[in-house]
Order: sequence, then C-alpha cells, then structure tokens
Amino acid sequence: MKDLIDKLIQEKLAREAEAKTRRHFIKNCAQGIGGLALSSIFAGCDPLTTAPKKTQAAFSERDLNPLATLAPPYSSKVKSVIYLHMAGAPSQLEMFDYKPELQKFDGQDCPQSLLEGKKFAFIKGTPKLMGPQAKFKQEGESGNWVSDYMPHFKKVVDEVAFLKAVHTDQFNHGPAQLFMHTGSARLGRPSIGSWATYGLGSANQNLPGFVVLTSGGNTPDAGKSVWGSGFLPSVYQGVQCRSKGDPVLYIKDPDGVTRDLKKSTIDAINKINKQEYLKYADPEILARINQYEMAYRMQIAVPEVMNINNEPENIKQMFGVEPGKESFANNCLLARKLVEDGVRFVQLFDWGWDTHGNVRSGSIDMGLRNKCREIDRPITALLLDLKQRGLLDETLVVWGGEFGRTPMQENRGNKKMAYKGRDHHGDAFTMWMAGGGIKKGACHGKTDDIGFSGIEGKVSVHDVHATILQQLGFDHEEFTYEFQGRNFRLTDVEGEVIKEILA
Amino acid sequence: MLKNITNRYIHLLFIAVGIFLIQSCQTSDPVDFSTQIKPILNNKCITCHGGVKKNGGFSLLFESEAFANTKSGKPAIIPGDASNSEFIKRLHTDDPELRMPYEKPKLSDDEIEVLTRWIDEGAKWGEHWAYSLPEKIEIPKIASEAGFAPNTTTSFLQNNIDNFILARLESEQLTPNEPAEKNIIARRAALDITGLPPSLALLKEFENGNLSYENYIDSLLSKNTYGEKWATWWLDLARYADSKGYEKDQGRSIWKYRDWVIKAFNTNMQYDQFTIEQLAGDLLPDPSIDQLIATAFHRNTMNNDEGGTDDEEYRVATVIDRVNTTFSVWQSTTMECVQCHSHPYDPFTHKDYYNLMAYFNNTRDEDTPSETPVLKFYTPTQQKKVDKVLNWVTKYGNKETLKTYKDFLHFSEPVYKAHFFKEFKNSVYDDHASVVFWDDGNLIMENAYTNKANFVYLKYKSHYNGTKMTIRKDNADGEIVGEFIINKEKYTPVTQFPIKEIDEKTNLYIETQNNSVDKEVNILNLYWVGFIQDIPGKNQPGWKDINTEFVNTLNTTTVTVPILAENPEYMKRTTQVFDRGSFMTKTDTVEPGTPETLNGYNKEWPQNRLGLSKWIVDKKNPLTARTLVNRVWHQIFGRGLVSSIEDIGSQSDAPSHPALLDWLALRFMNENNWSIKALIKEIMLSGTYRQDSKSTPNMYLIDPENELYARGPRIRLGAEAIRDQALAVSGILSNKMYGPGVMPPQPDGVWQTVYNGSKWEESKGEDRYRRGVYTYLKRTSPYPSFLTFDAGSREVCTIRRTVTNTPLQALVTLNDPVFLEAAYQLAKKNEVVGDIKESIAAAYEKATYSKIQTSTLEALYELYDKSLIAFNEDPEGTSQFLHFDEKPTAELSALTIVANAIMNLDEFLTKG
Amino acid sequence: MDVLKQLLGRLHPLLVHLPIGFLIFGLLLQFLDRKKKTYTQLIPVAYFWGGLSAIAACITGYLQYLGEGYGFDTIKWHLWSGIATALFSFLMYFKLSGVKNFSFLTKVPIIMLSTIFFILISFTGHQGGNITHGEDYLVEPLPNSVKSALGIETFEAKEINLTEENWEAAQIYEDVIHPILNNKCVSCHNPKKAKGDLLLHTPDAILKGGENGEIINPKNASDSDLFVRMKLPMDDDNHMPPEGKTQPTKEDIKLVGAWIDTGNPFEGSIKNSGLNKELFSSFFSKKDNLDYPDIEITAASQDSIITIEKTGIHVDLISKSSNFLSVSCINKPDFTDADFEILLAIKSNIARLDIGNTKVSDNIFKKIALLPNLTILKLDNTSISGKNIKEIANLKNLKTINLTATNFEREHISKFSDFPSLQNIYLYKSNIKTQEIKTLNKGQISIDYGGYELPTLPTDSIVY
Repeated sequence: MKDLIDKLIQEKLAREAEAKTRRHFIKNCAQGIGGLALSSIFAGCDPLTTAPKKTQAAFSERDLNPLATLAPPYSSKVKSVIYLHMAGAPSQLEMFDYKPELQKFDGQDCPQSLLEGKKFAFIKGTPKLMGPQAKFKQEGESGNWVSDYMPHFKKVVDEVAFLKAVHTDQFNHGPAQLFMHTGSARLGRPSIGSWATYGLGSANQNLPGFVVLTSGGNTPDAGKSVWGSGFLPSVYQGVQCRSKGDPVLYIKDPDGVTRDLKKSTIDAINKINKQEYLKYADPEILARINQYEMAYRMQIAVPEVMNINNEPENIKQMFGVEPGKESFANNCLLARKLVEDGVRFVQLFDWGWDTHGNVRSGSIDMGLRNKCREIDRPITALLLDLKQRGLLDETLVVWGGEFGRTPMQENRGNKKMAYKGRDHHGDAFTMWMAGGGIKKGACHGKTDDIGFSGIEGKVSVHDVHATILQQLGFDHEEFTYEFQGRNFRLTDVEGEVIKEILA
Repeated sequence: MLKNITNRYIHLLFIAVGIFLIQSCQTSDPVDFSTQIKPILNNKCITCHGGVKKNGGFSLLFESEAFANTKSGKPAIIPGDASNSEFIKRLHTDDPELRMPYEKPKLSDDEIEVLTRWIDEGAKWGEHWAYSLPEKIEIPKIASEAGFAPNTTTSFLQNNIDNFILARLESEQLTPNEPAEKNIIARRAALDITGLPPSLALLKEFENGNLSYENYIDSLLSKNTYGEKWATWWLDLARYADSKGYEKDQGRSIWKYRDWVIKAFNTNMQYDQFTIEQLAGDLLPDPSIDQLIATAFHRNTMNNDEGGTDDEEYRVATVIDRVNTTFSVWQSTTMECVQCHSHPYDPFTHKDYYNLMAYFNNTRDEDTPSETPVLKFYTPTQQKKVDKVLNWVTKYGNKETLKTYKDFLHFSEPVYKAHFFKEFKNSVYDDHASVVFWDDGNLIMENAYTNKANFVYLKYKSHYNGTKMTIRKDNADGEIVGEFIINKEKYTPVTQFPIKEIDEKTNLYIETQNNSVDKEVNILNLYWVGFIQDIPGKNQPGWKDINTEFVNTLNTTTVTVPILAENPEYMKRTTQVFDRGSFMTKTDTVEPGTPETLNGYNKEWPQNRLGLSKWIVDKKNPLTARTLVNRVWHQIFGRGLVSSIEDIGSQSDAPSHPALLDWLALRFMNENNWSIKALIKEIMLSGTYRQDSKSTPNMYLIDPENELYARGPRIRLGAEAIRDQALAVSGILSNKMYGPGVMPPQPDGVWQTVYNGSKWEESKGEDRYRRGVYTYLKRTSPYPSFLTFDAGSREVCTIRRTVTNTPLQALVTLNDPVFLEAAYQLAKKNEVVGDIKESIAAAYEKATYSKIQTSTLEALYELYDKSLIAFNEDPEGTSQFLHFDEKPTAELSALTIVANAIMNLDEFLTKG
Repeated sequence: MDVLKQLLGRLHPLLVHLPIGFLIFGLLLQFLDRKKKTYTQLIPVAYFWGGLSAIAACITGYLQYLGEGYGFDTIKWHLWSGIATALFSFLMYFKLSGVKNFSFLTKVPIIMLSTIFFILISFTGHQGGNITHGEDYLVEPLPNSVKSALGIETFEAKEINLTEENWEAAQIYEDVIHPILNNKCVSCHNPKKAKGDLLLHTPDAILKGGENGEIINPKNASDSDLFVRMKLPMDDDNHMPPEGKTQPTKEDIKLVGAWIDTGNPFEGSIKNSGLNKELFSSFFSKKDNLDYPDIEITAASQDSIITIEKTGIHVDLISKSSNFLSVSCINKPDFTDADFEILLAIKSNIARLDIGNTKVSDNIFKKIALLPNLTILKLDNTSISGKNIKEIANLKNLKTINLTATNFEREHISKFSDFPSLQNIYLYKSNIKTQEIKTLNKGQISIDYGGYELPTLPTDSIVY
C-alpha cells in the first residue's frame, strides 16, 4: 500500500511540476532566420551546455513561439479535433433519437407533470406533443437509428458513437453555446479549442493552431467568445478563416507588393531587430523575429490550404462543395485539409438550426430538412475521406448543438404557429463523436418514451468536455490554468469521462 | 562501594536536571503567522480544509474554525500543546490514510518544526498583510554608497521611491543602469502619460534644456491626450463598450460615460470622488447631470435581448457582475468564488457576498431592451420647457415632488414594466418588454402603488382605433379605477389617462376590449405603467398647460445614456442568499453589509451604494489605495509591485517591494490627497523610471521580469497606442475629442451578428483618424487589429491585457491599409528630394525619436534599392500600391516600403 | 538553548546503541560465564554503564520527542519501555554487584531476570525502529506470501488485467472484485484499522459485515450497504469512501452492484458468473492500442533532439508518461533519404514516424528498418513504389503503414504477410487498381484502398 501511494505521489508531482512551469529550454531555436539569430546569440544555440543552468528556467521555446508543441501528460491517439457545431440547436427527434411512442401522443396536451418547474424559452401554457416528423430506420451493423433526413449518413453510422442523453442547464442560444464551448454560461472562460492549443501547441509552423470556419450566413449567437481564449493569452484564441475575402485578416500583401519584396522587407526588419536584441537582451525581440518569420510563411500556407479548387473532382463531388461560396460543405473539406496539415483544433459553426416554426426556414418539416441536406453529404464525406487517408484514427470528430428541442410543438404567444416547430430543450439531446479512440457504432444513453428527459446514461456538457480532453491526453482534473490566484479548469468542478463510448 | 556509586548516581541526576532546565528555559523569537504559517496552510492544507472543502469538519480559513471541534469531536489544534494536537500528529504518522497532506508528499521537517513551534507558542492567529494597512512607513536609509560609484547613486536617487528600490538592489548586490538618453526618456514618458510620442516642439524645449524634466512631465500631464490615454486603461476595468453583448449585441449609446472618464482624468478628479460618483452618483444630494452620467460605470454590464430570455435572470446576472467588478476594480479581490461558497483561501464568507449584493440589488434597470433608466439630454429649446415644468413644481410643490418630476423628466422612472404582469388571459408577454393584448385581453399587476395619483402613464403601441381599456381593483369584478379609449398610434407614446385616487398597495386588473377586431389579433403592446403624484398647484391658472407641456416633453427623443436609479421604498427588492450560487434556489434574506475582514463600517454612512462607496474610499480600507497604486505602477513598469495585479490577498504573489507599496498607498491618500496625476508624476520623476532599459543576457537571467528595477521599463505598446502612434508620427492623427464611437476602415464581413441589421459604416473625414479610445467597440466583434494586439472585447472587467507576440500582429502592421497609409504619409512628409539616405534617416528619426545608426541605415537602404528595382520593373504595381496618390512614383513607393519596415521595428512597437 | 536541545535530541538515534551494546554484552558475558565464574567483576560494570547510557538515551529521546513533535501515542511505548530498560539495568547491576540493601533481589533467580531483560531490550529497540523507519519496516522486504503467512496483511494495489481474450476465464472475485475493494476500500477496512469494525480484505470478512451488521444482502444490491454506500452522492455523509479518499469509478460501483445481484460469488470465472461483457469492457487493458510498444526505454538525449530539430524536423514526446518520440517532417517537405541519418541518434525512441509529403525514395526502407520500436509509419504523398518494403518486415512493433497517394505497386502487397504485428495499411490513391485483397494473415491485417463514393440520391436535390 505504502509504496503504491508513494508511486502515485511521485507521478502526480511530476505532472504538477510540468503543468506549473511549462518552461523547458529552447529545443529548436533554428526556425529560419529567427532561429539563426538565436543560434548566433547563444553560442551554438545550446543553452543546456553553454549558458548557465538558469537559462532553462529563464527561457522557454514558448517564449519564442507560443504555439510550440508540448507533449500531453498521457498517451493519446488523437492529434486533432474537428468540432461540428450546429448553431441554433438541431432537433434530435427528427435526426437520431427515434421515439415511436411520441407519434402516438401526437396532438395531445403535454402532461402537466412534465411542465412543472420547467422553464421554456417561448412555450406558454400547455403545449401539445408533436410526433417525429421524419421516418427512421436502423442502419449498419450497429443497428443505430438514423432518420430519412440524413440518407447519406447511414454509410458511416458504424463509425460514430452516439450520446443520446446529453443535458445542459442553459436554454437560450447565447449562454448555451458559451457553456458548450467554454464550460461556463458566463463570458471570460477559454474555449475548448484554446485549452487544447494552449496545452499541446501546434506542429505546423505555417498555420494557426486553432482554426474556426463558419457557414449559414452568421457567426454563432454567442459571438466570437465561443472561440475566445478567455483568460488564456490571446494567441490561443481561434483564428477565423473566411471562405470569402482574405482567408485570414490582412494575410494578403498590399496590391503591387511582390512576395520577394515582402521577403526583403521582413529580412530588413529582422536584421535590425537582431541588432536591437544585442543592445537590450530582451527575449521579446527574439520572439518578434520568430513571429515575423512565421507571418511570412503563413501568407503562403494559409491561402494554399484554404483553396479547395485544386482538389480532385471526385472529392469535390463527394463533399458537394461549391467553390467560392461560404458553405458548410466547403468547410468540411477545408477541415480535412487543415487536419491533414497538422492544425490542432478545427471548429465548424453552421448557423440556422433554430426551428421554432415561426418561419418556413425554421420549420421542423421543411427548414430542418434543408439544413440536414446541407450537412448530410458533407459530414458523411468528411468521415469517409478522413478514413481513407488513415486520418480518422488520429482525429476526433464531435457533432452537436447547444441543446435539443422539445417533444412538444411550440405555441409561441400561446397560439398555433404558422409552421411546425419545437422550442429549446436542454434536458435531453443527442451528440455524437467519431474517430480517434472512440468505440465504433456505440450508443450511450437513453431518453424516455417521448424523448423529454434521459433515463439512462445521462451525460452533462462537462462530461463531454472531460471526454474530449481525455482523448487529447489530458486528465480534465489536472489540466488547469492559474488565474486570479485560483486554478481554473475547463470542467470547473465537475465532469466525468464517458468511458462507455471509448474504444 | 555503594558510596561512590551513589555519587556517580547523583552526578547523573545533575546532568539530567541540567538538561531539563536548559530545555524549559529555552528562548527564540516567536513564529510569525502571516509570513511563516499562513503560506504553509495556504499551499499545503487549505484546498481540503478551507472555504470550499472542510474535510473531517476541519477548516483553516478562519481562526474560529481552526480551533473549533472537528468531526472527531476534538479540536485539531490545541494551542500550547503541539504533541497532543492531531494537526501535528497527522503530519508524522506513517499510515498513508492518516498522514496529511493526504496523498501528497510529507511536509518538510522545517515546515513541521515551525508549525509545531507555532502551536507550542500558543498558536497565535495573525492577519494577512493585505488586510491591514500600516499607519506609517519609514523610508529606507541607503547604506553607505559602498558597492558602487557615488555618481551612479546620486544620479539614480531622484526621489524617495528610489530609496526603496535601491535598498533592495543593494541587498542583491546589483547596480542600477545609467539614466536613459534625453530623447529616449522623453519618448517613454510621453507614451506613458499621453499614449502618444511627444510633439517636436516640446521635445526640442526639453532637449535644449529650456524645459526641466519635471516641467516636461508637467506639460505632458496638462495635455488632454493624458485623459484619453488613461481613460483607455480605466475603460477596460469599467468594461466599456458600444454594444450590449450577448446574442443580438445591439448598439448601446453610452459614450457620454467614456467622455466623462476622459474629463475626470484631465481635471484630475480626486480618486475618492471619482469612485463615489461612479458607484453612487445618483444617491448624492441633488446630483448633477455629470454625477448621473458617472453611474453609467455599472450600466456597462451586458444586456440580453435574446428572445425567450428571462429578464430577471439576466438582471440578477448584472447585479452579480457589479459586485464582482466592484471588488476586482477597487479591492483586487476575486469575489466570484464567494458567490457559490465561502472563499477557498481569502477570509470572505458565502454570506458576505449576498450582503454586498444587497447594496446593488435595488436599481431600476431590469435587462429590458430599452435599457431604461436612460438619462435624456435635452436640447436647449427642450430644456426650456423642462425648466418651465420644474419651476412650476418648485413653486407649488415640495422637495419630494420636485425630485419625482426631475427624475421622471430625466429618465421616466419609477414605472412598472410589462415583464412583471401576471395571469395573462387573451394577452401574453412577448419576450420583448411588452405585453400583447387581444380582444378581451386582461392581466393582473400585483401590488402596485399609485402614489395617490389621479393619472396613470402608459407606454404603448396601439394598432387599432377604439380600444377600450379598463383598470379595476383586484380582479374582473373589482371597483373600476379607470376607463378610457386608446386609438391607433404611429409611434410608441407615453400617454396620461385619468384614474381614481387610491392610497394603498393593491392588485390592479387591466383589460382591453375591441370588438371591431378578430380574436387573437394584436390590438396593442403595453410596455409599462407608471403612477406619479400629480403636478402640484392644480387649482392654479395655467396648470393645464404645464401638465400638457410635461406630457409632451416625456415624448421627446434625445441623446441618452443608461444610468443607475435607486428603487423607491414601495418597490424595494429583498436580497436572498443563493444556495450554491444558483439564482433558482434562494434561501436566507440578507441586509446590506461589508466583509468583517476589511475596515469597519461607519454608522454615519447610509446602508446603500453611497455608504458602500464611502466605505471603499475610507482611509482605513487596506486595499483601495494599494490596488490603485499597484495598477498605475503596472501600467508604467509592465509589472505590479504585487505582480498579481488582479489579486491582493492570501493567494497573491508577495510584493517585490512591500514597504514601497504601502508608502505609495499612504502617500496617495494623505499627502497627495487621492491625486492620480501626482502619483504618476512621482513615479516618473523617480530615478528608477528614468533608467536606461538596456540589459544583457546575463542580467536577464538574473532578473527576467525586471522586478528589481536595475533597468528601465521596456514594454510593447498597447493596441490603441500602436495605431495612434503610427497615425501621429505620419501626421494624420485627428485631435478631435469626445462623441459617439467612430468606425475607421476595417475589412468587409467582419461584422456578422444574428438578428442584427447594424452595419459597420465607415466614418468619413477626420473620424477615420481618431484615437483608438474613440473606436466603436462591438462586443461580439471588436475592431480586428485591436483584438490582435490583445485588447479585449470588454464583456467583463479586464484588469490585465496579457501581452502576446503573434504572427497575426505582424500581418496587421505589415498589411493593414491604415498602417500602409501611415507609412506612405511618413515617407512622403520626410522625403528629401535627391537624397534617399537623408529621407530614410529623417523618416526613421521621426518615427523612433532616435538618430539612425549606420548599420540600420544600410539595411533600410538595401531594402529601398530592392524595392526601387521592383517598382521600376512594374509601374502597374506602383500605381496599385500607392492608389491614394495622384501620380505615384517608384521612388515614393520604395520609400513607403521602407517606412512600412520602420513602423514594424521592435523599437517602434516598443516603449523602451 | 533551543539549538542545544535539538542537537541533543538528534543525538538520540546515536546514543541508543550504547546501552544496547553494553547490556547485550553483559547478557552475553553472563551466558558464557554461567559455568566458571571468571568475569563476575566485569558483568556489573557492563550493566552499570548500560544503565548510564540508557538514561542518557532516555533524556535525549525525550528531547527529540519534544523537538520533532512526534505524537505521544506514537512514542509512548518506546518511552516507557526505554525508561524501564534503564531502571532494569541498574537493578541487574545491584543484583550482581550483590548490594545488600536490595536483598529482595537475591530471591529472584538471575536467569529469569536476564530473560525478561533481554525481551525488554529487544522490545524497546524494536519500538524505536518502528518510529524511525515505519511500522512495517522490518517485514517489508519479505515476499507477500511470507507476510500473509506471518499474518501481516499486505495491500499492494492489485491490477485488474482483463483482455478481449482472457476475460471470460478470469476469476470473478479474485481477479476483479477483490482488486477493486482492495484498491479503494481495504486501506481503511483492514485488520490494522478496522473502521466501523468492517474488514474487506477477505470473503469471510466481507460476509461478516461491520458494526451495522451485514453489508451484503445477497442478490439485492440496492439493499446492500457495500453497494449503496458507494452509490450515495459525494456530499452525503454516509457516502463511502469518504470525501478526499480515492473514489471508485462508476464502472467499479456498477460492477460491484451487478456482482451482488448475481449472489456475490467468490469462486468461479466471469463466464459462469453470467455477468455480461459490457460490465467489464472498461477494465480491459488499453495497452494494445497504444501508439508505441508497451516497454520502458530510456529518454533520448536532449542534445540530439536539438540537433535534429535545428534541421527543421519536428520531434515530440508522444506523452509525458513515456520516452517514445514522434518524429514528423511536417515543416520539412524537402526531407530526403540522406536526411534520415540524423535520426539514428534517437532510433530506438522513435515510435511514430511521419515522412509523408517528402522527397524520400524506396531506398528509405533500409534505414527505416533501423528503428526497432517504430509503431506507426506515414509515407503518404511520396513516390514510394514499395519494391523494398520487405526491408522493414523485421519491425516487430509496426502496426500501421500509411501509403496513401504513393506509387505503391500491387505486386508488393503480399509481402506484408511477413509483418509480425501489422494491422492497418492505407493504399488510397496508390498505383493499385483492383481491390480484391482486403485482408491478410486471417484478417489480422486490414487494407483500406479508400476511393469511397457517395452516389447522388434523388433527395439531394429536393429543396423544401
């Protein structure tokens, strides 16, 4: 027993030490000019042997390149994450959570017992239950249910693991999206992507570590803070790459300025900055030298990776891309390319899933079908394409919204609405994960007969976060950042890894 | 035989007794709690035995808890008896289940030893240094100039600050740097005070000695640009933005507050006054308009207009934010933790939080889209009418009625808002601050008070003619209070209708009838219902006109700013403790009160925000002055004397110069009478500040963060400053002050927010070149280049902008059209025809305020050459590149490229 | 003063050996001398000095106790027995030096005194040892079997190692339930400290229950404290294990519940317990899907890593919990066969090698073969034809080869069947047109030729 405890303690210590001081001496200071500058400055660029021991404490690779990679505390297969967020909250009842019983109650008043103590965004008085508007079939060897809104998806149903009873305590888009991405409904916390990039860095030195792609004509309700870095340094926030205009703001050289000219400019700047360093010995200057180098490389790499035109036809066809447009299909293809190039975290937001039934585009039987059609082929293609390139094993794909929708038909303003709609519902909704370390074809959690609340395998948003972090090689309880004298975690004080869906 | 044995025996006894005597009359200086014990407790024990977890019923947060009985029934610490204190035993035992810290390494022998001694000495509980402020601080005498050349010392020792700094330097056997060159210090000081490089005229005056350094500093402090620079810092704390945040993120007109802050800095308003007006300006006797504007500080909280959100939930959210922000801004204390449970390590209890919340819980604002109460700014002509009404009221009424009418004319409160109405029938709350009535629609207003008024004021939008509205007491069969017809309205007026006088709180039943309209059709939206006592002097001639005048002015539209307004007695809310911080589960009711740990509450002070603000700026408060001083220091040196500027408390970093911190704090309150300018000046006059910022790799290794101040500060400029400086040195910066936020050019498609038509409309003329502090800040998508340079989105209070260094920043200063235009202007204005090297040198000096070195000149000239060749080869490119110039030349293009490079030099982006 | 006190205190461990020495010496002499009394003068002297040094030991011991703040309970036995020893030595002294005043001594047989004395000394000594070195210091080195034989309970964490293969055969109690209880409960519920009079280290103990009676109600978990107490919410005072202690996972709890529901069998395999696989799957060891061999190796030298990274090759620890490295040329597309040499400095640490999108040729295999622990190999988007692929058949850890978008030829596929632990081969966009060989080695190796398609469906074009 004693030695067991001691062993545990030793390991814990080692980890804590690592977590606290992420400073470990410069490994690769030879990145382009910046590096050369360094090497010339620190005799042979080898602080370990030349400079006094203290160098190791004083300098870190991260001082020069904040995105320098760090090893995860624990072994993990997953190298990258692709998070597909359907902003507005898709209806689980028309996509994956099949409720034949609900059909029976269609049109009947919702039992009061369910409504007591519940808060809804728009539903007033006693709403009526509404049966599933889609037809369902069991697909694949797993025999998991998929609706006819997603005809292509059945091809990959055996790749994914469903979470049928996810719950959140937020029922308004803004707060719920924040909660889903930062672990808190209030602003100021870092997003999952920022945590991941902060914890692991990013291998490709020509691309941002955390890329955000939006479609559906709008950014998410909660705004840029869903990919913000909160109290983490802003370098870890998501970089929004746009399929229209400059992919990254100011990445394009001014008209009339050639690449060579830009290169000479940066050479000149860095040359002078190096003299500056010799005078002030301020490592910030070395960092700046590095960053200008990387900026130059990014200017080539980003437009390249963001260009889908030279993908082969069959791939374009499989994803159903529309080059030049801003579409979810394009973003899925981009996501694959980015992951292929070693980007750590790719976040997709598709806006327009808020199906209240107040307008045609927001109706369960029409608008929702259109949205489903827009994602069905691209998502299926994304999983297949990752698979055939051997990337699916090392990429974690997560799909979901900020909450689900009610089994009741919405009756906003206490009257019948123009179209069939469902209100916001946080008690039980469906998410799925696929890829690295995920159990293929698994299905965890179960909702009651009308899909109102979970009765088995309920998981919280924190649990989902804990699981994502675990797949990236972190223990969500140990992965902390000290801010205002307190250690913060993505999962705050909760969260439990959902082992049931892990391979 | 026996004899000599007994002899020996006795000898032994002596030795024994001796030793026992020795150990009984032992002496040594007693253990100090806050420096020796508290740190150990905080690092090793408090996570499991603190405010959150009290494992084994044992907590070390408060004295009372530490000595109280634990689960075991016995206290863990027995003062004076370490060896019987479980607290100590548990540190020794080998049983991993009992040994503390649990599953953590054993404490070091020294730690155990000091804890043991502490208990044996009676376990005296002490207070953490942060929670008590000494009355006087001795300025350290500088130990003989030993160690280094007198001249260094004398040139270094400029004022008392330097004694503190030097004392520490001497103890570390370090010598400070030489003073910085005049041009360097001039630029540094100007950037620190005004956020801009100095004007050439002023610089010349200083360099040729006509102006002493002190006078130079004074003239900088007297510039309006000083207010703009320091306001930028304060607005981060105040979470100032031009939009409401959350999903819709609609615009918010609150720029009057931003202007108020700038003025406050420029007029050097005393910090205590500055504090009181922002927290409680509305509660001051007969507050001025400016004092009302000041209260907008706490109206910078976010406002959620998203459909289906519960206004009360988000009202509470803002109140919570106000408590947290107040304590972050003035007390360097993180109150967030205490919202859900007692503080894990600072001596604040769960209840403390709600006592504080009680101060903020009684303002009129209720998360409605209109953001009422908003202060109206009448045009002179409108103001005349307002005065007319008010004069009348003064003449015939009393102080109370006057206040009522002033308030109602200024911000139409107090009124009952639609989201409070209950029991809707054929009517419904529409989630956008109004109730929709259908035919036969009715609802209940719970215990409303009508102020004995003979009129009711309604804000509504009516879609049909001839709607009959009936107001009854209690319910449908209640006595009729008022009955009137409402006709179709184009706008959303505030209208006055006659009612019966009632002198009691009662439920009111409101009903609408309009048979000409089908069922379930929206007849009218009702926003609020208000009752104020009638205009006095009813029987006087001219009363009618005054009354109409009054109603008309209510319906004028003006510039506005959201402000704080306190609830009248009959609308007061009670504050309850939230179980685990969730507003859904309320428990005990609490009264306003301040944490016991801090200074006492003077009975003279009222139990409201005004009292709270007085408590904060009471000279006995240990944190207010320290916080301010520490953060100003951080602004200037890039590092606080307590480096964790967010947190001064048990868990904060130890101050690098404790005495200096306290000395500055005391001086700030007493000698300098809360004057921020005086504080800044004092710091800037110090030799510490005036040092050269040169360093060596070795020096860097000794003191990477420059916490010993053996060199001057060297920090990258803030987001706004980088842009301002570029515009300034290229001579295109506008010096226009105040007014609504401006929208300088930014790439298309940056603004994309749901349900929000608003567009980024590029400002025209000089508004394109205003200082950053005036740039329109939309929370969900702030001005991109500022964001890239670490400015926040101001959704919540930002205490520190973590300075980062990223490729995206390089892309901004290299490619953002704003910076290109600046480069072009810099090149053009400094072009010396026929002498390229001269031109380059001139531009360089203009930008960096330093003479160019040959090596630099060479590098830049080489760049010029390459560019010139490139542009000569490609005239097309030339005209594209300088599209804003009538007849662009390859030479000017090349010079522009060089200027662009200059504006990307570390030297330019850094305050050195 | 304090210092002196402490100093003396710390002399104790040294001083104690004097009395032991003297007294044992005395006893020894007595034994040797029992026949011909030649040392009679000498023996008392030994005891006398023994006594003196014992007193010194006592005093210093007491000081140490004060100084280092040991709990009194911890040391009381040692203290008293120590004092006893001191006094006893004088007693012996007086007896042997035949002091008349203590005549009563003459009545007691010396041999008896000596024996008691010997026991006393050893006892005192042992107590002291326990304090400084810990209770189980003496017996620790003994093998567990011996320990339990000696009745000393041992609580090393017991690993649960179930696998796809062995899980049915594994013993339900011995291999699963016992380890769970052992690791999460027994540290408090063991013979040494039976919290709540409950022991959980043996079947009998478990069945016996604790102060509140039995803890298992057979076939009814929801009425069995063993299960219920663990299931209770953390903040419930009755929750077990108490807050702050290592908690069982929800899988642990679930399993214990299920085990009770099937009548808590202590014998027999999982198979005949009838419990279904789901309950155990989370215990299956994950070792086999690691990205590196399941062995310990020494870390690669930082110097060589620095040198390698200078060339633009990216080197990362696979995780902080292992010394294996992942090497990638993501930032070095111009990597050629020649550049490989530099990697040999860390060859045994490389578990993951990504040289996709580089200029390597088929000659690279010769070199790759030098990486004994290579587990994942990415060669995608290169001109590899695969003609030398057999060169790396010796890599016994190689699990995955990615040959996407290469010139890999069909004829070389068969060679993969010589690869010992290969599992996945990716051949999308290679030179292979036909896809008949989908698996090798009886399905151990699966080949993915990709080229998936999503045929257009009528619904694709219906807009609602």
